[in-house]
Amino acid sequence: MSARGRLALAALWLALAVGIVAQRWRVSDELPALIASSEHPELAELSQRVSGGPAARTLAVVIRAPAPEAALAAARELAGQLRGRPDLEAVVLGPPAGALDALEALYFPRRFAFARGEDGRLTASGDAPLRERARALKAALNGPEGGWIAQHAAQDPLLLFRAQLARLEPARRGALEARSGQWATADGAAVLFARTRASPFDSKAHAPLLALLEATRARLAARGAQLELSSLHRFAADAQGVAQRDAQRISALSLALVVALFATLFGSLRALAAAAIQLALALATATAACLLAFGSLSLLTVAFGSTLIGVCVDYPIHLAHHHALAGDARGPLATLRAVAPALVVGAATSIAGFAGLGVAELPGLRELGLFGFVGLVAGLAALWVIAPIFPRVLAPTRAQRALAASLARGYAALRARRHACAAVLAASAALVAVAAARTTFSDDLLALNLPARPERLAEEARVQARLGASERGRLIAAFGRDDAEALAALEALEPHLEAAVASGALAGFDSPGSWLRAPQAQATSDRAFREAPDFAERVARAYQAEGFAPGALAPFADALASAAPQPLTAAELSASPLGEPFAASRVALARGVAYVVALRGVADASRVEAAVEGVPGALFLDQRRFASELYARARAQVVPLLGAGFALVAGVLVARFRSLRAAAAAVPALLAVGSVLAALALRGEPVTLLHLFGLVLVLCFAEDYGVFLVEARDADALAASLTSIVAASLTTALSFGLLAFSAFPALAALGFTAGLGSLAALVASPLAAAAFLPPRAGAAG
Amino acid sequence: MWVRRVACAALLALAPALALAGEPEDARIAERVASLRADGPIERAFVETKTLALLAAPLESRGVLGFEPPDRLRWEILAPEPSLLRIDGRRMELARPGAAARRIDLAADAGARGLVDAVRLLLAGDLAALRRGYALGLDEAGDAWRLALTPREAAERRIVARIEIAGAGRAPRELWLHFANGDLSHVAFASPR
Repeated sequence: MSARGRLALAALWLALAVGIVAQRWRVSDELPALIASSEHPELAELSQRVSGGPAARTLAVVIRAPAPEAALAAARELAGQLRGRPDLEAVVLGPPAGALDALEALYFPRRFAFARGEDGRLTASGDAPLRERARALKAALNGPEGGWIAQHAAQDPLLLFRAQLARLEPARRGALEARSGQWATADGAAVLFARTRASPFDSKAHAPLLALLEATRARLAARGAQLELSSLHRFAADAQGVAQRDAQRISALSLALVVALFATLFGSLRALAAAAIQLALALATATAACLLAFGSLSLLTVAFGSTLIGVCVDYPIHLAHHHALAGDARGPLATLRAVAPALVVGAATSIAGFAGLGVAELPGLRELGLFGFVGLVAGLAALWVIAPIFPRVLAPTRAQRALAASLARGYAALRARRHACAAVLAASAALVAVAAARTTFSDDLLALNLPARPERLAEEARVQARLGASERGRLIAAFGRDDAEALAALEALEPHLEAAVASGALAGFDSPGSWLRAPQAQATSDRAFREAPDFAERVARAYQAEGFAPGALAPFADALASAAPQPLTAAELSASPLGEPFAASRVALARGVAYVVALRGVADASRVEAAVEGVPGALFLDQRRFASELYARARAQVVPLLGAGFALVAGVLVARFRSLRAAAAAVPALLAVGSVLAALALRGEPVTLLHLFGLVLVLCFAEDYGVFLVEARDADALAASLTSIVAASLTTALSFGLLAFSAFPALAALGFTAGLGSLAALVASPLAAAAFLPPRAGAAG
Repeated sequence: MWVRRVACAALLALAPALALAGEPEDARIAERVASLRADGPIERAFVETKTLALLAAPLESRGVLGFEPPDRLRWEILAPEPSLLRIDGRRMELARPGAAARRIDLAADAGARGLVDAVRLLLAGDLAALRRGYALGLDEAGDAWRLALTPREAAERRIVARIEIAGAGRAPRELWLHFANGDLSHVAFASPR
């Protein structure tokens, strides 16, 4: 193919990849997107759905003012500003209009269907419990609410509807109360809820909303009022802000360093352009492949992807150095053909390192694996289409010549001391092995995230306490193939939770079961009342004995004799004014449905979990623990995959070199990986999943360095390879070295690993080449 | 000439308001409500008798009505079953021994509002709120008076059809709650000490 043809192909390729990326670009910074579990796939799906569900997307705003009315007015004013915003799905200022009528319309006709516990057993009981009910009704009629109770008493003398209302009371309002139609805390603070359309982790989408709330906070403070906020959005925004600032800073600096390096070493804009296009092709292709395969890129892949630049850029650097210092006069393509074995073997070892990740169970790891695999293949392939961009003859710059000469001299000195080099490597390996043996692992998910700001945590705790909110991140779910099955599991679960409350393991719980029962349970309960022999007469007799007028309960007898209503359904309830809190607890899954029970005051999680264990369809979910367990599994997967990747790398090297030259290529990678583990052990820092991802990269470029040296055919080629690995290593080390100073632990871990690994590989590569290459090999041979 | 025309137009425009102000019953109601306003905390024992269609015999309870200006009302039943109903502005709380307190938003719950809120408004002397919530009627004979309040809101009328308060001078003596289902609650207040 002609040079023009190749460039046209590069343009078409880039346009296609960029087109796919532009069309499908979506970054998901939801860590749960990395979760998958073959043991409890429904739990993994639930965890993911809950993380982006209505409760997680809801911001709670609490406004305190010197007078409760002023607080309510401020909340109304804020609600006016928030309503109609496109980023908000709902703004809730108070109980829904028509809630009381809806309660009566939905539950009064179905009072028999929702009778539970003692109420449900009344039909089978003797007269004594009925007379007790009669006395209770009489006492209620004589109380302040008597006038209201009397309205329903003739049809509902057993007070079944009242019991259902009492069950719904905590679910409807929690610790809040309604004041003048608005939600308020017991001490008079106004409460407003706003639910965003986007996930709380989509910080970019929420920036204007959070800014508006902060401005409102300042404005209210000037009026002597206080606004406090509880939302996951702010924590995510804090974390993402730091991560993005750091990533942007590092990316910019990394780019500047590459530019400066190319300018200093080559003095050729065309070489720089070629490298930039090769990187763009590699990254755009990898991004497009992941978007096509997974629908979105996780934030982790984005961060990881930027580090892949460090590997991919090694190829054009290597080509450029060889073209300048040991180039083929026929042009860059001829030079590329000459260095192709080194590049192909280097890329093959890197791809082997990534290949393992591609078969990992976790989709997040597979995504990383695919990104690395495609990025490396594309980066290598791109060299053949961008090579014509290099000048036909690239004259080495003074800096390049000086560096090459001094490196060649240094390498010759090392070759003269081959045994000393081997001894140094052996000693280093021993030291690294001893230190690395002290390696510890951490699977705490939060350790990867930015620690939350203390004042944010304090504010969050204050608001949550005022709202009497349930625990975030710990819940119990009842699963089923459909609503009926899930609701049946929920109903079976509730007595166990009540026992957990009674035992002190749990302060309380809010179950959607108070809103809805399985259709079968409703029908059974309703039938028990309607079909109980002489029940109306027995009730009438018992009540008459307690002073009720003869015939007063005729409406009750009529109700029992009438046709049973249709069971209440999730759809009917969701569509009613009461639907909001109920719908928030119902989670539609790929293969069924889950009802979420919110927990309050978990004093002993293990006892709560144990209480649930025996209930079919019910599972306890501690999201932090669950995620950490999955990360532990991911880590457990990555360690052998790293080992397998290295074995594969070694296999490729042995197959290629069939001599000690393979050791010269492999030892730098081993030492670089070992050095990072040893440094972490010496710092007392446990190894996290992100360190392991970094080690995959270290493995890749350290192998490349070794291979580049081993593949050098003569003195000029060796000098070119030495300068290329110095340039590549410095680029990686400097850019990643800065990443290690990121406040974001995940980025810092990645940066520390890749930065230190790069420097270790730079030192180990010439030592290993000097020690293991046969005496005649290379320039100094 | 134009001055006269403007004056006539102004008189015509103000006529309904002047007529209303001049209506004797409205003025008397305003005077009566003003006379009932509690200027300081009050506490009155009461006996409530409920005649309900459901029951063969009336129910009787005894308790204390407390009021603290501007709008705090306490309706405490001491016997036979203790219970406490408190209203603070638009917020009603109902407590019974051994049970969690129930809080009710009077702004949203017309049924609950109908039960006791009229008493609070009367003792607060809040004529405007009374007029907004109820159609008012007054009978007077010498020192004795009887004020009738008919809820304007249908939701409230579904429970309470009419409220009557009777007394002599500045002191309310009796209260009748006529429920929509025909039940009747009669409250007799003890004389102020």
